[in-house]
Amino acid sequence: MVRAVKKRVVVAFLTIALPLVLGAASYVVRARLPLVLGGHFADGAWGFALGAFVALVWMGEKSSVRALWIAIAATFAAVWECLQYAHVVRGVFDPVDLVVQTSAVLVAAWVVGVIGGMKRWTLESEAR
Amino acid sequence: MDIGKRSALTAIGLVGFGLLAAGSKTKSSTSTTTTTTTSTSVTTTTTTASAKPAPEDVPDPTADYKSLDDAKVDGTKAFGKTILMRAWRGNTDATTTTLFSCGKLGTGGFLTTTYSVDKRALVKAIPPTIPFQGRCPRVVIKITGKETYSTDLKGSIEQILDVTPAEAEKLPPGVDYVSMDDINIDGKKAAGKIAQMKMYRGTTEEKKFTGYPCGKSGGLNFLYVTFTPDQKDTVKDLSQSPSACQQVKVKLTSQQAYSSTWNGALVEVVKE
Repeated sequence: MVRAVKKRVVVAFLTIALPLVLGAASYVVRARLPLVLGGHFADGAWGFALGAFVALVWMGEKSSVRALWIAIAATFAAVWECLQYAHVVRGVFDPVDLVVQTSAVLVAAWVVGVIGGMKRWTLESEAR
Repeated sequence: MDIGKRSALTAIGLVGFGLLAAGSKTKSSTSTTTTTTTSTSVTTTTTTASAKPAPEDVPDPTADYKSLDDAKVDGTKAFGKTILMRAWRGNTDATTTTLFSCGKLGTGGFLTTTYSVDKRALVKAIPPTIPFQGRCPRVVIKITGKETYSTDLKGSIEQILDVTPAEAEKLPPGVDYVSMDDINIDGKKAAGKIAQMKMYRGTTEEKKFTGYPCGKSGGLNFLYVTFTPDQKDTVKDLSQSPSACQQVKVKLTSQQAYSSTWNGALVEVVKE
């Protein structure tokens, strides 16, 4: 049980905290990054962390429930970018960002799903 | 964890991610609270240095274009017209600076601009990288033509807003430069002068090493430093990590013709 919790913390660090840190760091070194990375990496990292967070919270639930929440997270990411277009939130709307961060949510959910599929990673499997 | 708790946690998480995104947009694209100064201006309304309002309170000066793309699609019709853009600067020398538009792919781009001597302090105040905190300053540029071998536009700086003129660096006795930026801006005039900068050591050969200054610079931010056989031990002790920069005094010897890279001779590693 303890080992599973530790592993979940590690997965949370790698899939949530690390992308957020790297995304923030990309602002610092933005000028040295290729334009594609400089403009979209942080948004992708944010989307990835969001998808991973939701997927981790709902890991172990029925796949339909998990899928519903992941869809909500992806919609949240897409709506956030669209709100920039409407000038409701700060920032510049960019269709590439829209694709990048929405896709990143789905990719992260898939990655966490794959990890979650490995029974040894789940709390439930260790508790049995 | 039951579904209720998971739902609550997810909702909190979504709020957190929303705040995080809002925070990052604030850092990457809004203004700081520095005072605003405008240079003398060919354009109309905003010579308001004395009032010092917040940057966002100074209205945009009149300009024909607000993005490089708009100017580019007008082709030669854009020549002679003005463009207002938010910019950071790249390669900078005594009379020219490359300005990069602070925008995302598609709205970005760059152009080489000339500037007059009286604007040097303001040009220096334009951040040499996209600012992590605050927003890129506004610059009004008169488009003067197109680069010979590309479709990129070139122009001259007419007005710089949202920055205070950069103050002269405090120089230790016997030192002429403490930043690579100033060396780049002074160009060949810096030859023969003494620079003292925090730097770390990169590629090292028998008689020279590449020194990487730890401050920011518009343009090249390294120089080749030669050393004598009796300075070998000093060079070996010089940090190779950007996290442990050391004060190094270098005599600037020459600037390479095409690459503008500086060569210098090691004087000493200054003990702190």
